[in-house]
Amino acid sequence: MRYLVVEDDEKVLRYVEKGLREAGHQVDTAANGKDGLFLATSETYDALVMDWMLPDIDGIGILHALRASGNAVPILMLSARGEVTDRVKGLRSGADDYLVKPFAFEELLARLEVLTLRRGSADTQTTLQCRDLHMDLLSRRVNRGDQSIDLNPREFALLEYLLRNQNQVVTRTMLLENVWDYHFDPQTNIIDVHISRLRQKIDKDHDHALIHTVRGAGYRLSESS
Amino acid sequence: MTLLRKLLRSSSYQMGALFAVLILLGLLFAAHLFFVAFDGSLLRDPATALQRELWLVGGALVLVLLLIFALSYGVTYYVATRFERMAETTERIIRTGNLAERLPVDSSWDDLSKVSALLNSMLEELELRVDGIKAVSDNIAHDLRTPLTRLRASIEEQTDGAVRDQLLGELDDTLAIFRSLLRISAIEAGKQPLALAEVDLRDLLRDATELYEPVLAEKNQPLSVAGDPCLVAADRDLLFQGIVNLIDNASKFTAPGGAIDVHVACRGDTATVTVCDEGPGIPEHRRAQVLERFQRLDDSRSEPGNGLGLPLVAAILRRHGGTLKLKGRNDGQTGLCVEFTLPVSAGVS
Repeated sequence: MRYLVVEDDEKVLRYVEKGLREAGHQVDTAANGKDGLFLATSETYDALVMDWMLPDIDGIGILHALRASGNAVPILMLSARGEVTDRVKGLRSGADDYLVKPFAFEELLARLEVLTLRRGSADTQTTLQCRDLHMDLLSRRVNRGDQSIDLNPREFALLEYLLRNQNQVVTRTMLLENVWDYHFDPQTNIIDVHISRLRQKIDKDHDHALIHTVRGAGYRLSESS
Repeated sequence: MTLLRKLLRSSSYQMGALFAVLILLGLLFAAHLFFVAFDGSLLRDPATALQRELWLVGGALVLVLLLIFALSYGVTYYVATRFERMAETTERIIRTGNLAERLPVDSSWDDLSKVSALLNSMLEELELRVDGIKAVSDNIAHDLRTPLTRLRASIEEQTDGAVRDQLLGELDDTLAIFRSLLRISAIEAGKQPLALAEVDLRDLLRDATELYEPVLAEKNQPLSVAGDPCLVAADRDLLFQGIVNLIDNASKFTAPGGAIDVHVACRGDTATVTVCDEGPGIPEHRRAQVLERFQRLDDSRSEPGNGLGLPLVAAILRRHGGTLKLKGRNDGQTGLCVEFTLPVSAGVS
């Protein structure tokens, strides 16, 4: 993947750049809004990582300029919480995801990979599938092989999110945000408890486990471990 | 001369000086009476002289009394309003934690202004130090995060699975403590504006309960949320985190099968929430202690946690203008009740 990172804090910029390179991605960087907008419009990227506050043109300015010109590149905004009093404002203005500083690199990486892959999958899908696990979004039925699985609404939402982002690492914070709509760092193992309950229903009595724990990062739903 | 200046500059001596001047006036007047009595005019024409003196005495007395009244009222009012303004500002600074605010300094020459100026320089010093601490903790966050991430990467390369898992577990505990500490100090420093919105406390409590449902179900702990809907102006995510911590604690310290009761009450301009568990409770003299960082009761050392849960909740509530209190159960059972209050939202913000 090819990413553009626009960030005026040099330390953060190097940290993100180094991490992305180590994860095997190509990275371009810009330290101010003007260079960032120039690169974003003249080159093609799989996703942008952009700070909210930037010299010259701020992140929102770049975002508006890109969206106005019809550029739909996925954008992940970084921000010190105080810069936006309403997190929703960030997402409403056209950003695809939003991460509050300071953040763990695994969190950024997981979100970026989900963003870049989400583009391909159309939202019009009515069924989701992974190996012999099927989810019908209309009838809200879930099957593993020929066995029907009974899920409560929250478990259904959790599994749907994992299925939509299969083969990707999703962090506990991402699950809390997308399945429960709360944005904070869960300090307890509560998400793990939900996952283990879902595992009981999905993977128990099956030789082939689909939900995998990724140590230090989160979970991944995929055919292979 | 220096003594006189010192006396004049003190607000209490200002009152004293006022009375002294008035007493002096009274003395002069009495001296005048003596003079009149002894210079003989009273003897020569007693009737008219006495009448004239009585008029003079009466008139002067009324005048002096009016003067005393007006002056005392004026000075008292002046001093009292100044005290009041100082108290108001101090109270506001304590409540909001806004160290950038300063006390009013009305004049440059008396003791009250001197106290204000001194308090102001103390505030300035405090502000500088808090900013310093904030900068240091931000730097720690930045500077430690990268090496710790590297450390985790090298631990993950360990081939011995058991050793690796143990090391990773310990590193994660360290990171959790470190994050909690940073979060508490960030909230206490009050530098991050809250993302305030109108939130229904009861909805928030129900969401938190729903999130904890699998844990509660596993331990067979019934949890009920009772009470009225209650709108407060709050940072939804931050408050939710606080509530999750409370429910987590309640469940952790209650034995399997024990019940947890959550109640919301919206009375006047205060929302009160109580979370009562059926755990061992906390002896009264140690309740203040557990709100301090790293203070856990010895008998709870075996429980998971780092002793930062309640201090974080307390910091979150203080930041919202609320309070947190630990109480015993009022139905005679053992257990702990955490009671917190928040100001009810005045309207759509």
